[in-house]
Amino acid sequence: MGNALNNTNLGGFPKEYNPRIHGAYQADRFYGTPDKPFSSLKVNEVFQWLNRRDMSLTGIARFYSRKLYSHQRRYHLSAGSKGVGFVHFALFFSFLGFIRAYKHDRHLDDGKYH
Amino acid sequence: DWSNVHYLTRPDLSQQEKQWFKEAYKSPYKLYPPEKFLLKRGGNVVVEYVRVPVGTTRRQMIEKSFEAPEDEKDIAPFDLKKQWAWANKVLFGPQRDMKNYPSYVDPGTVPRPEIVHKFVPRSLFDAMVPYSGVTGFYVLSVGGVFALVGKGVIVSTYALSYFFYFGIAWAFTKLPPVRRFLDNRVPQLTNRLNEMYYVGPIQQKKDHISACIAAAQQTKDMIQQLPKLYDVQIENVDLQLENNYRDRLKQAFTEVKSRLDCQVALAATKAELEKDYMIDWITNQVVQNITPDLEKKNIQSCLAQLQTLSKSAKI
Repeated sequence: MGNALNNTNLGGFPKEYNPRIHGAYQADRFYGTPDKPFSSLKVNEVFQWLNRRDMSLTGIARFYSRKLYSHQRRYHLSAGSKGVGFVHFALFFSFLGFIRAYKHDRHLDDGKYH
Repeated sequence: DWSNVHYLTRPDLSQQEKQWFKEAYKSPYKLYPPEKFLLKRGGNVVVEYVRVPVGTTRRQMIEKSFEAPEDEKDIAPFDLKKQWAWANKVLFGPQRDMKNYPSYVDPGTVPRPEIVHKFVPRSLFDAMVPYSGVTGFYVLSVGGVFALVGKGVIVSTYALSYFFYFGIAWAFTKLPPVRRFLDNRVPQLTNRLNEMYYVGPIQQKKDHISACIAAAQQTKDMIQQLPKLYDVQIENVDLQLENNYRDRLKQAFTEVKSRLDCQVALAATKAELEKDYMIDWITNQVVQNITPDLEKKNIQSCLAQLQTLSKSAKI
């Protein structure tokens, strides 16, 4: 059973990463096959686009980590950032707290005509 | 061949530092060096003479200076030259795609993207303008909040109004007369606090230190002048001794002189006594030998002389 871990890639670079082509590894870059950006899609292409994506757990984790690193590079590590990264971080987790506490006060929204 | 002797600098590590490096390289728990291995002024460098053959280029000399000396090669078997060459070959070889994957950019050198209202990126702001105009973002955010409150998604508890008070206060501060007043008053107060709690104590300490330095310098100068004081004290004592000497000398002189005066007075008195006695004795003898007959003859002779004199006198 321990041999099941022989062909896994735990804690390593993505399989598509090649330093001879891509250079030094940067965590906020995507090293897979280039695809159309999400903002330039039409509505009928969205599901095809999503099917092409890597929807496994590691894929989702890589997406999340990439977005974190890119946000950090853009807003936190840049010159003259002045705490904007911290503010975005706090707002994101405030939103998650709002979602978590959604059911907390549902007994109070008892307005009949709203 | 002493014509091509070049001076290379290497960090000057003592035996203790080298021992620490060896232990730290092998152990996963030793992290930070103790304070005694801190940097020295000018850098921890020592000038080392290295003999190189004729024809060595400057690049070769620079690369050679990156090598570790012989007694430090076993501390960390690490060749910077080789590492750089390997990295260059792998990362900047013929297959490298510089167009889609350019080389690393230090994020600290890139300016922050534009931001509106302290956390909203300008790209989001400008993307909404063609769809909902210039006020689109504001209408969406504020109106969206009020819509959600009205629909009951954001529940209106007793504490929700406090969130809106902050917005109202912020809008109030944006009014020009309030803005003007705040721009004058807030720096005034902050400067007052700053002077009281930051600049003041530091200046007090600096002044105290300057006063201590001046007092120490004054003490030093006074110590420099102390030999003069010692000379004055010695001279004082010498003067007192001279005074005593002169007093004693005078006393001796007066004593001797008084004794000699006594001797002189005694001799004089004795001589005077002898003289007076002799005179008295002689005169008494003469007087005893004077007869009345002789006395009469003496008076007569005196009268005769007076007569002769009176004849030649001019009156």
